[in-house]
Amino acid sequence: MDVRKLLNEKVIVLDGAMGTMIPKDLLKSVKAVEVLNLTHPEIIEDIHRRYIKAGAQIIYTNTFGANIKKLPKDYDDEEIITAAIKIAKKASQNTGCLIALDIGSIGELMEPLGKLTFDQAYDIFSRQIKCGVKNNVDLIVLETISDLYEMKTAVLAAKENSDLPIIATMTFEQDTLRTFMGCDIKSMAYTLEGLGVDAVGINCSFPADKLLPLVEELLDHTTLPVVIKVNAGLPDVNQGFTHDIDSFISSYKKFIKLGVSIVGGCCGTTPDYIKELSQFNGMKRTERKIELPSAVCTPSKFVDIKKVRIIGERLNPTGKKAMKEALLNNDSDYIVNQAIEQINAGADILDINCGLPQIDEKKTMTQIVKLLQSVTDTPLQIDSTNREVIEDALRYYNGKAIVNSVNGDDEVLDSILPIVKKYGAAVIGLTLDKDGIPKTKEQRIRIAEKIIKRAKDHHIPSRDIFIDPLTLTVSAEQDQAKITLETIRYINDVMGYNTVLGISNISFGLPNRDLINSSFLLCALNEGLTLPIINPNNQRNMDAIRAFNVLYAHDTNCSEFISAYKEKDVLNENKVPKITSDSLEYSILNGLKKECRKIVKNLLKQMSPLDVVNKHLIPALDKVGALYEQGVLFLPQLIMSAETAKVGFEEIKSNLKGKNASQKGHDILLATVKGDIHDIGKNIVKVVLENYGYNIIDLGKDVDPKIIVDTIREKNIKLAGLSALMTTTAVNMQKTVEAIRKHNLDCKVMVGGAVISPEFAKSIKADFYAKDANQAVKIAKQVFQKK
Amino acid sequence: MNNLIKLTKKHVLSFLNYKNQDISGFEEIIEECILEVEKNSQIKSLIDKQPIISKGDNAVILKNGLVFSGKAISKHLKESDLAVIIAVTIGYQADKIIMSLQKQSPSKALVMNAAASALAELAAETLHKGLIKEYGENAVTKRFSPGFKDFPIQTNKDIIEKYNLTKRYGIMINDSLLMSPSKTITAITGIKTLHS
Repeated sequence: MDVRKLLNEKVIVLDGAMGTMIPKDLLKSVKAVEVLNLTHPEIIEDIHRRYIKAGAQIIYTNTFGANIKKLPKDYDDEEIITAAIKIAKKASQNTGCLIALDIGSIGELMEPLGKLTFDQAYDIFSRQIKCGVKNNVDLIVLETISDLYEMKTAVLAAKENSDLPIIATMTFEQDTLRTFMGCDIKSMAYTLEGLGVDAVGINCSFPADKLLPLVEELLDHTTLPVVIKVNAGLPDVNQGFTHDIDSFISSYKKFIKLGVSIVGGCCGTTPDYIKELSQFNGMKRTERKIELPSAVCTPSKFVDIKKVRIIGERLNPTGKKAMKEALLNNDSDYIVNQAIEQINAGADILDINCGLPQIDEKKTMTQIVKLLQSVTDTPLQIDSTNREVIEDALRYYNGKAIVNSVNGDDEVLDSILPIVKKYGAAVIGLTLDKDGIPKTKEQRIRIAEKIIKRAKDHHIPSRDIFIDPLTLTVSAEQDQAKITLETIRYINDVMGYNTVLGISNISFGLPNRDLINSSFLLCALNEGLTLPIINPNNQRNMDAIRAFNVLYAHDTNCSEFISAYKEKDVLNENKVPKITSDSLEYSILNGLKKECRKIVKNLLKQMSPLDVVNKHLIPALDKVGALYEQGVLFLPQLIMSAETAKVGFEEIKSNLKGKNASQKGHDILLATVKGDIHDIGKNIVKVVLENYGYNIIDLGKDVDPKIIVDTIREKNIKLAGLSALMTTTAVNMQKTVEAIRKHNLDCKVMVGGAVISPEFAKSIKADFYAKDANQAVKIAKQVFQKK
Repeated sequence: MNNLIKLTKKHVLSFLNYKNQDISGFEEIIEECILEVEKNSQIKSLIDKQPIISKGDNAVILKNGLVFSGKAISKHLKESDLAVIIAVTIGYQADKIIMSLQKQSPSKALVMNAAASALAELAAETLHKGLIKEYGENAVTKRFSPGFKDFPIQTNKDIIEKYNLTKRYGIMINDSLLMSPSKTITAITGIKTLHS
């Protein structure tokens, strides 16, 4: 039977709950429902039979939690899955009912909030899927997942280990209409359709009679068959459900009328529910007229391209010295700041480019993707020409990204388009090829058409193809600006595709570049440009876009314009609070970052950078530390002062650039130990130590002792700081100290964290106990004074 | 439950080891964090009263099969005939905000973390107060959480499984027995009912 065809043609009825059907006493006595596949197969078989008799055309195997993380330690996932499939097959023999391998959430939080990595989760899902394939299931069901990242991992594991059809459903909350992890239904739909699942939908969740808004939104944002398999009302504390079959069925009737075509029941439903649903079996699926807009997303931010969307260009080392240095020095703080600054200025999407010959582009790109998706929910654009870099970035990206870019060169198209399709990304096509950038509009359009055709050959939908007609420098080739603008018009009006354009190239070699840039931007917007790649921190660019949105009625009621400029009128220079003292100490003590920068700038005119540090910044920090110890300042104030001083140090650093006078501080390694994901305390210590000029090698959280030992050895570290917050992880602190000692490393160890006491520090043979960041500074001074 | 509780500066400061320092100039940040954490939290709570069917010096067994082991919890529930299981979470959004802030402003992250902890604590406290109101102050013990004294922290795993809290509220526990969302509280309160 062609299962994919079946899923697409008619209404299909799935089964109902498994757990609900298992006798309560038995449920109490087993460690996991899936264990019953081994101990009580006849009960599971009977439940399957009852659902099939009631009219289910697809039954889910009793394997929801059959993964190595969830199952009790003494059970084997593969044995349980194999048994489950055998039971389902026996129950469905000669009935025509299909068998779906049921896979639920792993039950452990994934990175970045949790410690389960993408690769670990992938391996867990792959084991389950391979076992299902080996035992010849008809399709794979991924359900009750609330983290889009986990769902993506599961889908990739399913697609890379089988060619079976995939049904993917997530569980949503009634209050927010999002998943527990904050994923909205549009982002789910776009990401999963992009990844190539065969049906998408909602399971578990909340009562069917409250589900309509969510169902409608899903139907409007996917072309795939839509699945609804929700609970029989809300559970009480003892897992009882508010049984109301009539309301359940009448809701489902509405869903089917709207276009839902795969229906079943989750927690609390029984064969009675399925029997009622079976009236819809084989009905013709309601035709839906869907025109999906172009869009990209992260789990919690869906950016449709129905109007101008700004792509921030700043995360690119080309022509940007500071970014280049940040990439070379792995300076994640700088990268985060650049990202946040652009978002605050109005960027809807962030372009990331880390193409520098001195660095491992693939590793760096993946690191930045992971870093940024832990800090912001703004969608990303992967800017690289290297297939491997793009593939890795897309794999670890959570949502639907843009690939920047392909061009008309066959080799490039053949290499990049398959991965764009595989990961469901959107793609930018540059109108150039092996012969360079054509000089005429017609030639550029021909290349655009070629790219579009080739993308479509790879089944990439039109909405995911954006064309870049390319900007040439107007001072060198003055007639080309007009060609670019005309090309935009044609692609927009005649071909119907979104266009992308990097703006700032236009003005190279001219004075008053901002004027040319913002004027060209405005011209391009007028021709139909929807995705300008600009520096959103540049006021003129933003002014042009905001004004355009008002004039072309994209900004309804001018509300965005008013909110952007209303404050500006009120807040003029005179109203900025005056600094009551011009001392650096005052600004640091009061967390006045702008003032601190200004004062440091002034001081630098009067004295050497080293003097600013030694005579002003360090004494100010010492005073802050002393006030904290005296109880005059409290912890958040101490940290705020440290952050402010950091701004002063940054100013000094940028002043030193090129003067070859930077003195590198001593290296200190910091890490939260294995098993622990708390790092607030460690990060505070980091900020404060950095201010005293130490170079912090921050290994992050949940760090394996081996990585700590290797880093100490490789970098010849003389002081390491370890942090732990939980009693259950303090033991790993001990293991880490032991590992450092075992390898005879000449490195002092300081330890700290909520559960760590001086006695514990002594017992695990740490050299120092640091009760807080201030103490850590004293320890560092002591260690490095001796050296 | 969000509407029932009101987080104040005082609550937040109590999580920041505040000792009457002058915090003028810092208060705005605290206010901001309170607003943000309230806006982004979805407080979910479970409260279940279970008869105690067996009591000893080292363990207590409840009617629904939950077993609480340890001398401390046994002593805590000695006079009670009902054990109330309380579970509260404020959701994942607060964790995401704290994680993001840590990379931008550790001082604000610290305050936000305190505000989120305070909110979860306040929610648990509100449920506890409801019990006191229902049964009277003398009949209700204080809250006692897994991980305190010799009450095994593993009990959280049993509670999560028993009440299906992963499906219900998205609460998870990893192999280090760390619960997520991080601002999740579980606690046991004993009740001595009138007839006993």
